[in-house]
Amino acid sequence: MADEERDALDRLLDEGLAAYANREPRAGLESRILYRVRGERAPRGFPLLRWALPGAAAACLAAAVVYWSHRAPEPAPPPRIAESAATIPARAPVEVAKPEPPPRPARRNAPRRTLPKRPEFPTPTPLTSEERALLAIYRVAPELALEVLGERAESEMEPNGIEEVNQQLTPGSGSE
Amino acid sequence: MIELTGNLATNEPVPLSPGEEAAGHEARFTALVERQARFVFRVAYAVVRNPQLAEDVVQETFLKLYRTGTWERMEDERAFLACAAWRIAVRKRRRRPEAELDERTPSPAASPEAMAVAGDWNEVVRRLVDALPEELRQPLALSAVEGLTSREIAATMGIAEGTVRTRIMRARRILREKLATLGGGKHGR
Repeated sequence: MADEERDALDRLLDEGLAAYANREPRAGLESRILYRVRGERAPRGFPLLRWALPGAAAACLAAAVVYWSHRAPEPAPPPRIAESAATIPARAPVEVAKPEPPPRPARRNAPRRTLPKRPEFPTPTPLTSEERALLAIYRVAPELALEVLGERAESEMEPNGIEEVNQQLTPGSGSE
Repeated sequence: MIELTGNLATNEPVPLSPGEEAAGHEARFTALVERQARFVFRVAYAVVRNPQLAEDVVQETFLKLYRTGTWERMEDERAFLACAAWRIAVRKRRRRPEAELDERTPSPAASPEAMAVAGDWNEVVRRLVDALPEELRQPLALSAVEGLTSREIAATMGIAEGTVRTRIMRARRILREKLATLGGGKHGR
């Protein structure tokens, strides 16, 4: 590229760039800027009015929330029996049979209970007063004690009369 | 004989009342807007390429400065305003689709070739610049805005000054080649 041509292109370029950059704004740019800035700094007449509508809406919402949250739940309708309780005589309380508990299943693996073994069988029992008296007599006078025992044994061996009655009742016994 | 009193005698500034101070504050801000609004608009337009959107950027820039009060502490007024506007413009540009940004939808009849044939070289350059990648287009467009220096562009974009120069050189080389292809060299002589 020759220097002359290069200079020509640079001139063309500079002119084009100047036209490109030196763009003019619409008339009254400064006034519009200052007007907007003054609008920013001007005290607003009724600043509370700006919040009036949102504030009222928020208050209504809060009131509604409080109302619904504190509102008592509607009482359940009373049972009809209660309404006619005055006319119907009171019934005696009815005992309701308690259902029996289901039978317990038998324990299969339950350990067997075994009675404890005693060292002496039958278990010795204390002597009666008659036996103690007889023993005392035996120690002093054995013959007398044996005699007493013999009488007692004989009395126990004597028939009590039932045999005789039985013999009388049996046929062929010779009493007829 | 005139008797000098108070601050006049000691050559100190007279303290302003709150009302006078507020009035002075507003007067200084108004002067700043009148002095720099067009410059800020051009910086914004270099990024967003849409006059309506660029004006939105300008308004937002000054409004932000006013709210934060940073405009009273600016050392380099142009660099500070360019940086603030550039950031807002880049953010707005990201939100808008490309087709919405271009104020004039290109048609086949309005191609750079057709513009070159018609002899509208400024429009040819505009089309070619718009076709550049953003990383090359933005430094080039900012360099054309009221003579912003490479240092100011670097501060505005948050990149190194050397990078700015390199990108501008690359952009110009690409544009020269395209213009030469379209016969711009013959026209510019």
